Amino acid sequence: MIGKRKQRLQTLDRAAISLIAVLSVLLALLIWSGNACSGSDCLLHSGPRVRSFSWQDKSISADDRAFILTFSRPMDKANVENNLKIEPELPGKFSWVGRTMAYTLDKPAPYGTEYSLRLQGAREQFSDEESKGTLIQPFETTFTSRDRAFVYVGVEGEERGRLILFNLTLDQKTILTPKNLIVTDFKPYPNRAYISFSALDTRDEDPSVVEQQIYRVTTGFNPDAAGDLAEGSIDLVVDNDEYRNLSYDLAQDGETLVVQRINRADPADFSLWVKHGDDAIEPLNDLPSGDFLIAPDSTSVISSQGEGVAVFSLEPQDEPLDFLPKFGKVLDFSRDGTAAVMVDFNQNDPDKRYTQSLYFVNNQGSQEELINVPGTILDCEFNPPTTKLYCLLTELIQGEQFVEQPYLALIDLEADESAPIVKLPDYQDINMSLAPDGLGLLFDQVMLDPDPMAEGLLRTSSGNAIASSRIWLLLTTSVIPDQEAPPQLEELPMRGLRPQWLP
Amino acid sequence: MNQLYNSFTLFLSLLVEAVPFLILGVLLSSALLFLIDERQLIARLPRNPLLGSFVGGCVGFLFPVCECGNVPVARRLLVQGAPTSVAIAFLLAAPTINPIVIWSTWVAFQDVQVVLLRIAFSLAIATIIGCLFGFQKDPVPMLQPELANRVALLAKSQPQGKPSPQKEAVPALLQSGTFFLDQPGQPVRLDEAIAPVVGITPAQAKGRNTKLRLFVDNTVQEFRELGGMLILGSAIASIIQVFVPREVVLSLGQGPITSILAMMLLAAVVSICSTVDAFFVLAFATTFTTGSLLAFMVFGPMIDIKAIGLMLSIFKTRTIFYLFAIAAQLTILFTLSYSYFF
Repeated sequence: MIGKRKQRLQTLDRAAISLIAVLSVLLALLIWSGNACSGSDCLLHSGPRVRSFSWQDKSISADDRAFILTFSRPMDKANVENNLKIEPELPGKFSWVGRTMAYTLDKPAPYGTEYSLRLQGAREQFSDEESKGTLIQPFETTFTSRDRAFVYVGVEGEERGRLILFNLTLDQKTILTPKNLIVTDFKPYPNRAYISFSALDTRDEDPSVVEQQIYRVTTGFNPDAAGDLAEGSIDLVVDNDEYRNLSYDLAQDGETLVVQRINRADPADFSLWVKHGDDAIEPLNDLPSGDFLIAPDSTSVISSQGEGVAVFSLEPQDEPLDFLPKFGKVLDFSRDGTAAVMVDFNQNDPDKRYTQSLYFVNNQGSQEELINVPGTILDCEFNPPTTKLYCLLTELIQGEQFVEQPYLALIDLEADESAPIVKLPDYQDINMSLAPDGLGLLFDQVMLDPDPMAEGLLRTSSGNAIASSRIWLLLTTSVIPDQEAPPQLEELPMRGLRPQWLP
Repeated sequence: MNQLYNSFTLFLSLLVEAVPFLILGVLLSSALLFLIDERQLIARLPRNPLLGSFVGGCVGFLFPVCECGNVPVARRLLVQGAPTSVAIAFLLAAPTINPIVIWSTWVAFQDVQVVLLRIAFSLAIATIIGCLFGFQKDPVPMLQPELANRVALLAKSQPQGKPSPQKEAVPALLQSGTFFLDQPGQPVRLDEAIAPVVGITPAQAKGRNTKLRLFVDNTVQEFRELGGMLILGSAIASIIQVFVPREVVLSLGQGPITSILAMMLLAAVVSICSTVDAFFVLAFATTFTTGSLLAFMVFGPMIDIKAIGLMLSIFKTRTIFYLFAIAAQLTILFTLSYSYFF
């Protein structure tokens, strides 16, 4: 019995010792092959490597401001920073947390570009400063920025009143909406997969501007590459059965719509309504509202209210969160939502009668007057880093009769100076749009129908029938143009209204 | 003084994060011990070494116990006549392959890869070693003589179905193992203290009150013992983090091999419970390689100093050496391959 046990014990011993021996050989082989290198060619690469890159195979937008590189080992930071090459160059800042490096761009990456990222020659961190860490396995990859694309309302022939998507990168035009819908306004979704638009249906008995309904159309851009999203598929989002829709705005979250509506039966019932996602639309409050804009945080709406602007939460309630009596209108918010530009109509200041002032207002409570114009402030847009403002203004020209002449101006917020860029003498009802990467400004030049009695559903805000419209592209530069460097203005080959860049 | 405050803050934060998992683990293990009839389970276990050790590794899902709780259970399995491969694989894998540990690893790392690799490596190592021990059909030669006698006796006299072994006439202090001195009169050996509870099956536990009392006793017992180990582990961890210069830790974290060795050594020394070790090791996540963190989480629950103490009550030194050496080699092999290839 004892002998038998001993025999069996030896079986376990033999098996265990053999396994230990085999594993030792395997380990030795593994360690050896990790160290058997000639130059940069190792049998097995034992050095550090890039484990993940957050923009891998991604099409980045202006909202993608930083990428993350995760390494398999702690790296020598300065060494990595010196050896990281992005082409074309994208200036930015480095920050580190352990084995993770973040690179934050100074400004959005220009659209329609393929970038290559290369990291080679970087070393891992070594606490002993004299010895050098192992070299990283070379890492090379590419990523792209979104195609440069904009949307406009066609004005001529078959395209009249229809929403048209033009992809500048691919030089490709797509008509998104059917012939029977005359588009009056539109707002692209932040993910650019959809465009929300308001339109009249020519099949209605009495198509008129006040009979618009709000729809949503797919663009064919598919940010998540999931599901089938062919362009031109249309859903009705808000109908006009009981209430007429006057104007609307789409929040940055792509979920919330705020619509200014008026009761068909009771014209005094005139207020803002809100619709979250697929929920039913509901009244926000029963206060009459003027122009309005949803804040970038998608939780509040700023609306002109009597002699001031009120801030409302997007949950139904009557009391505003805040009220700014000084201002009459909000024009734009900075990308992060911490600042806005507002217009003071100078009603209470006799010295500034018939002028308008533009104010920079931030969430710290500061209100700084930027310019005062003896005309009208029509629109303003921040550039992406919130260092400059592009504004559409008018000046009064005194002659036999007063004429308002529009012009585009650049306001440099850092240098605190402003200058006109280009005068637009024969323009009216201009719509402008600054590219999400800040590199180009689109605007339209409407041509009116000479026949004052002309019929048609495409009309300016003052009610004149539109015959045609040109689209212009102004390449924005970092400096204010002057005699030596005139503004680069280019007429685009298509005819259309309200050109607007896709985000 | 400031460092002392820092380490105390770290210590408390480790505890706050870890205690809910510990309570959950203790409650679940106490509850499940009543719900599962281990004799029926043993009767159904496969006898094939490979299959047996794989199943043994997965049995942890039914007994969500820490490395402190698995030794008594493995010992019970052996005594009840379970195949050696099953018992060994259970001993090695149960602390990792159980729902609480998998969940806490996920909560700590939020990284599917880490969770899956931890499971895969632990299960592979347990299966390989379980298989190896499966060659040994008769477990007696690798056990401590007293346990061997008991197994041999039980094998002869009662094939299955009787409650746990009777107390021997040997004075408790002459036996090896971990003892509680809190019971008046007689020191109680750890596995003996749990054994009556472990041995109870639903059929034997008569009346709801008895069941409840046993449940509460077991919960308090486990929580007291494991909670103590957790406090000690957290204290060591926070002291290391605050008082050992970062350069020293950093220099250990470099190189795929040294970092793995350093983490395995740390795992053995710190003896932190597997339900909470993911939170502990997370503190090193920014300076150490992922391979070495995995080494900590795979090797730590299998063998640490506290577990060796517990294991000496079952196995002979030589057997433990085999377990230790092969588990260490396999851990290095797997985690180093991961560092090289991924």
